[in-house]
Amino acid sequence: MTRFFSWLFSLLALAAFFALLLLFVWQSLPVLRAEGGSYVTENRWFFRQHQFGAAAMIYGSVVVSIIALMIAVPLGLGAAIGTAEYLPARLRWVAKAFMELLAGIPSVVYGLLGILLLRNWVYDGFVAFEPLSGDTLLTAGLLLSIMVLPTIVTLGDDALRAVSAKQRHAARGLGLTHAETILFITLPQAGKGLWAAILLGFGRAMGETIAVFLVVGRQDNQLPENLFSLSMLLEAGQTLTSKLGGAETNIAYGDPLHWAAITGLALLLLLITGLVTWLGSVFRRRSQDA
Amino acid sequence: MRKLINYLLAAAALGSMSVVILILGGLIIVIAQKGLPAISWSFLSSGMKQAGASGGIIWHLVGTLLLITTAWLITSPLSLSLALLQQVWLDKKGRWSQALRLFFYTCNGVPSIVFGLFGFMIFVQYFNWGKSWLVGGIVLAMSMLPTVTLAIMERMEAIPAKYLEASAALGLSKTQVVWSVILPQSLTGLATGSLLALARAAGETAPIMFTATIFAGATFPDGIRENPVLTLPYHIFILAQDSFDPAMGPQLWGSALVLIALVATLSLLALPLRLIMHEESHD
Amino acid sequence: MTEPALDTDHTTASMSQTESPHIMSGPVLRIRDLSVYAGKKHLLRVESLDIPRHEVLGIIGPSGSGKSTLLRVLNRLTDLTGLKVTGDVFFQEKSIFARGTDVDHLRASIGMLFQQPVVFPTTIMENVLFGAKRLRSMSRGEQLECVESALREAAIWEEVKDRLKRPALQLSVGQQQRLCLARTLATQPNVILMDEPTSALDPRSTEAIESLVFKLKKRHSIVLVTHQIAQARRVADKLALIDVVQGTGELVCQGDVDTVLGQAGCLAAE
Repeated sequence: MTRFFSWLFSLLALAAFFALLLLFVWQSLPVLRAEGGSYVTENRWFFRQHQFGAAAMIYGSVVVSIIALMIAVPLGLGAAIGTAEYLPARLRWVAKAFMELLAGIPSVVYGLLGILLLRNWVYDGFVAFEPLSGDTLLTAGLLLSIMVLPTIVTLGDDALRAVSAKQRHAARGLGLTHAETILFITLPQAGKGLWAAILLGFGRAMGETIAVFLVVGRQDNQLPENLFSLSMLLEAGQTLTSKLGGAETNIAYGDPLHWAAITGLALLLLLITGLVTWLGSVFRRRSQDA
Repeated sequence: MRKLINYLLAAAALGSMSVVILILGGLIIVIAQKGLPAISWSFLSSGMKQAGASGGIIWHLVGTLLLITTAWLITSPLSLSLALLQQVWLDKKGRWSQALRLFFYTCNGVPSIVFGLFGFMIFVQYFNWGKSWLVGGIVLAMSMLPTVTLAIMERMEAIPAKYLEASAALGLSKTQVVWSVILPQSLTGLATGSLLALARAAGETAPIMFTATIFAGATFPDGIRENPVLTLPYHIFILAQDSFDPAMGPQLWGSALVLIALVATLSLLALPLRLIMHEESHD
Repeated sequence: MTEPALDTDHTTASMSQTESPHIMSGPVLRIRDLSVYAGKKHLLRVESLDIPRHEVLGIIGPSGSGKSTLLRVLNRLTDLTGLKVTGDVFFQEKSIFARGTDVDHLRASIGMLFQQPVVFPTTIMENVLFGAKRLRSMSRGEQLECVESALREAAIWEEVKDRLKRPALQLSVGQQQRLCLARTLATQPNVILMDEPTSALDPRSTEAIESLVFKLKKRHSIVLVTHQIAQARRVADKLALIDVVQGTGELVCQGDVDTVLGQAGCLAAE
């Protein structure tokens, strides 16, 4: 009986998840048929004219996440080295608990802080460049970097602690300094776990909806000629998640093509975050098994 | 030179750590500072007035609690079943078992808005329920499921093999071992995973935006169809977008503070449990 | 007792090993009133023990008596695991716990070989150089000389000379242990601490290590922890017996092999 119900409930739960994936694929078909590859490569989103090219949103999501990582990874890994290598056991536990508590702050609260504090700082800080407002891709990236910090620090700390004490003691026994041991033994051997931290941080950044929605500006079709130009960062933009969280989702349902375009965005998001999280999880598993 | 590098690395590491703690700690302080003035008994116990400009958040609290309770009731049996499947009924070390685990790690990374859209399509539109607290519960349950399942799986993994061997040696069947050894020992895993997942779910806005919550006009639901609720995160979300109105200030921060307090309480409740688990698994 | 510390086999320009005549005689390490605590628990007590120069001191005793802990005090690895140490240890007439002691330098001068060979996940050559190259900058040529000299001293040169760039993890366990020895020798230590270096090895590798110990004591002083009495008899010049007395490891007997193990010795008296 127990066995029967275990299987039943499990299959029910798994079916729901697979149904989710299938549903998004099925619902997106109209737009994929209508636009084909240009759905992801073209930069023109005009829903009234039934033109759906999501390139600007993909760019937005990626750029915002990269900005977040560029700040959170050095800062976070540095902090992880601090907690893993320099703090005594008790303090380490406190630091980790604190970090986890902060990881639980809801995104809407981060969004609130973004609106009320960060937005003005960015506007004032870059006033020389004449931004239109404080709602920009940069603002979203900065806000995300703070949100992603706890993830990177916790996973980085785990990765560093997973390196065996035998290796570290053998190095110290040879006369290597603490720093040399960290740089030449611990960090290299923690490699996989550190990559996991970065990947999972990236996934988290890509998937964040509410906080980004509130500060990114929500302007469509913002895609620079030169993908690497920095000027776009001070402009308002749009990400996959900010579009999905917006008003368009509410009004799109009646129109099959428009709705397909929206679910297509969700499908893209699902595939990208799914891939990144899967990779990160594989690396994390391998780093713990070592 | 070697000494210099030694000092520099220590300084850089501890410096980064301090910066991180300061940033994150600073956030809490700002929220507390701005939110505390708004907190009062009437704030917590009365309903909303003037479209959020005054009044209290009682119904928002009720709505949030209803959603997360529903979600938990749905998730728990499903998570337990999945964990049992992975640990007991399938070969723990086998390919399917490992794949299942990896599947849930991956699902953990799925943005919650995706679950919201799923619930919107199926329940709100196709089943014609309209916005409903139950849809919110289902959607939150889906987003919680991976976390809770993994927590239970990990707890089950940590049960010392000697207990399982001893039970098997006494002649107990798998089912009996499940009920007499595995499930009792896994309860802390269920509790911890649930608390952490609930803390996360309580703060979610995206999945419930299209499926379960509205800004004003609801109290306690009286059925399933067309029965949305008020919720704290959505309240904050809407007010935040109108934040140029100074009257909103205290309401906004007060709501934020209450939400954080709720999330923090749930997370903190998990701490002693995790300490116990940590002790137990180091037999 | 005293031997000139001439580096006749070394071809590298070595770090100064010349010991002034006044400390060439006498023990290389002196332990006085040593006690080690883990929190409240008193792990080990050694009232007085001298580690003789250019000899092998065997440390024997039941498992758990604190023999490994004693070794780890000598190169201050106990600092890393939070153990509290009272009393003193003198290395070349200076306390190793004195303020301002360069602990990293100390550990390069007092090398350690562990029970399980701890090989770094890199090439054989990089392993050997790992500690040595931090001590002095070496040109490519000097590095190769250092590696060859250390590997020869560890009696493994012939076996690996053609695969210095290959991963060290490919070696057999016995070879890995000798590689670890070479790595330690490359830092030119005065003292080599060995913590049950052969208990994870097969008889042939054990024999190889034991005959190495004979040769090594000409240029280094060796402290060897072993739980095999037969090995102690074969290899050691002097012995120290650590036993558990009322919950704490204690040095209960020391002296010649006969004094400790012989008919009228400490063990017989029990």
